Amino acid sequence: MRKGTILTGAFLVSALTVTIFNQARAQTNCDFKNNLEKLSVAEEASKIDDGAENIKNELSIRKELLNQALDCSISDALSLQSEVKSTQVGYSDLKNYQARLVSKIDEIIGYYHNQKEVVKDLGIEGSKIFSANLRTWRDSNYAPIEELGKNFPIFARNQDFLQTAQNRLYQISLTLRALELDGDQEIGNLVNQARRQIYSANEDNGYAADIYKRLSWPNNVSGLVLSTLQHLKDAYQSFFEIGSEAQKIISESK
Amino acid sequence: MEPIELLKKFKNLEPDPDYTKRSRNLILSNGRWAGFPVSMKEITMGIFKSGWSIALTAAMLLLAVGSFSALKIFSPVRNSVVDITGLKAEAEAIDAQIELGNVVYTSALGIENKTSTTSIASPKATVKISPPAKTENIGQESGEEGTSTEPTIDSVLDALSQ
Repeated sequence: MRKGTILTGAFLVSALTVTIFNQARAQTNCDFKNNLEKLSVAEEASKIDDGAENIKNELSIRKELLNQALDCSISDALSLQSEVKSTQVGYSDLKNYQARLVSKIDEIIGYYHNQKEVVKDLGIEGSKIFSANLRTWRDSNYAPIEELGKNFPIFARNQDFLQTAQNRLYQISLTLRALELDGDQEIGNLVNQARRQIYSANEDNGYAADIYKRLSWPNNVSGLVLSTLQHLKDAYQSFFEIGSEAQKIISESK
Repeated sequence: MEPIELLKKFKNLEPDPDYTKRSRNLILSNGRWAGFPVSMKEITMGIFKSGWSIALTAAMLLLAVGSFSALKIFSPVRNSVVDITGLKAEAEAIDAQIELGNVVYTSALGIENKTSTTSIASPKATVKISPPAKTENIGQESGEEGTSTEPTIDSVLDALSQ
């Protein structure tokens, strides 16, 4: 029942995010199909007859597509920024990472706006070079920030999960000591296993934090936030096993 | 008898020793000592009455609390060593977070494909990068045979750069 509620909640949040994102894109018109078809026709026409009229027509379509791509890029960046801004952050380090990401996305949006001014003066060859350069720029500047931004809400939430798991381990250790079960070998092994898993989760979380601190690229922040969670999941499995083992020992001693 | 002789006799008057003792005790105990004020029967009845009232209060308290359960008393491990309900809720929240992370992770693979670069983080968490999809048609990124996706910003830029 509880699992269902959580999963439904997570699904609704995802669906809402996707809907908002798609709405933003729809307002900007990020459907390129029509203009791409026009470009294909214009390029064929220019190949057959490279007269001024055909060249002018092709250039006009190219500029239209470039402006559309830039508008869409701005829209994507704004959606990403909104996602980062709306993330609840409780720790001062997280607030710093959030502020730096927001500022970096502002720079990206500023860059796109400047490029729209450049498009006005392009010729056909110039538009080809411009497109290739913009593509390269996006790979090395936008893609890293996009990955960091999309993972930021998960990374921020992971800090709470880590804290909760550590508290759980502490509580369980205290209870085991009170019940004089901490001397049992099997239980001891399970507690150590849980401790190692939480340590590994902290380690991977630390690598991810370092990436956010330096905004470094290339990185595998997606893999790190997931492996943090996987280690935590394993730790919880150990907690359940500790519970079963303790129950078994107490039942046998009665 | 002459009054003078009578007065002389008064001088030799003494109280009863038993009465003296009782009176002294009475004054020293500030009125507390007055022998047994009630009989043993009354005391026994009082004990019974207060015992019943205590028992009745305890029963009312249990009824008022309402959540009394023998199971809770006889299964201390389930409630004390590990809080199963709480743990389950936390583990499920982690599962839901993994689901969300997988969505981002999948799209991140696409981002990394664009750059063909290597990872800097811990080897344990290294992301495997699959071969990048090649752009076959103008504005359309082709993946598997016969399938096409919506043109993206990057695929449009690729098309425009040719």
